[in-house]
Amino acid sequence: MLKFCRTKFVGFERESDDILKIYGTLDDTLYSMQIEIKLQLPELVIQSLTGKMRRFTTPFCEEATNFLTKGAGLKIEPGFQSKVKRLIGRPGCRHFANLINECCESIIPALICMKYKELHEENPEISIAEVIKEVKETYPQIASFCPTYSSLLEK
Amino acid sequence: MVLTYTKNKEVHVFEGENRTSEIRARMYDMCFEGEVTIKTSKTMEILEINGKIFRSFSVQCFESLKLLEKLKGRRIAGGFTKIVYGLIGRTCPYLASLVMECVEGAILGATVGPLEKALPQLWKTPEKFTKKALISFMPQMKNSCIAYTMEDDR
Repeated sequence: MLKFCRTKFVGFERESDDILKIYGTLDDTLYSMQIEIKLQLPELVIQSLTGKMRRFTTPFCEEATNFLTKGAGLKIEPGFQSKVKRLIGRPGCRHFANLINECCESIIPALICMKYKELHEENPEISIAEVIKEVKETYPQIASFCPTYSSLLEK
Repeated sequence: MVLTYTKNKEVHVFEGENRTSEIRARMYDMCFEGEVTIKTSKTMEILEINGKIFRSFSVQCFESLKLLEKLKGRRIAGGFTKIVYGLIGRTCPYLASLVMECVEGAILGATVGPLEKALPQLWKTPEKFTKKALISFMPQMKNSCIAYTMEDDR
């Protein structure tokens, strides 16, 4: 018998040349919440973080929304996920922290997808390795926190 | 505005015989699609673990699947996250993230039952719905988030 289910959805849209808007939605047997992150490019710094809870278990949960402001100014870099857990998860809500990390850990594939669309229009023959190389040049900091993509480039 | 990137992740936790649980996590985004299934005992020991990758442009992700076997026999407890990221996180963060989604599902699946019993009682008398009362129902959750942290403990 099914006793628990959770669905998370993450969506990225380009608000302007230097702002990425990220939406995150979490819906499960116990909780339902959403967040919106505005991310400064190319620095990968969170400009604003807002959210709301639609369903929760205790009357204290909603107060955790106040802790989302602590996310502003955080940079996506090594150690980012621990900072989110420490600043928003433990003192506020660990499901909010989980959703923020879910959104932000998608930054590399999202940047690759955006760059692929952009370069593919100019050159339909472009390979994914070439796209990743371009992304790495624009955002050199990603190499330090994603060995998978770095090693892909080395092949 | 058109979305430039999307990701969907879902986890299902099923109750099996002898208090075992089967947890399935599936994820797909524009670059990757995969699934991890874990079977746990009543003590949260991993009895079975399997993974499938349907799409990925990283060869290493496909190669990481065999590493899942090393998690068999381990218990979901403190330090497990470090083990998962140490083992798989460097070669395939996607796969590591799916394993951790199963772990989160296993933990939340185990809290649904006690919460379903405790919460209706507590919400019946909101004036008595205190953090102290909540912690007495769910002592294992103490200091895990705002709801289970007494003001003095902050």
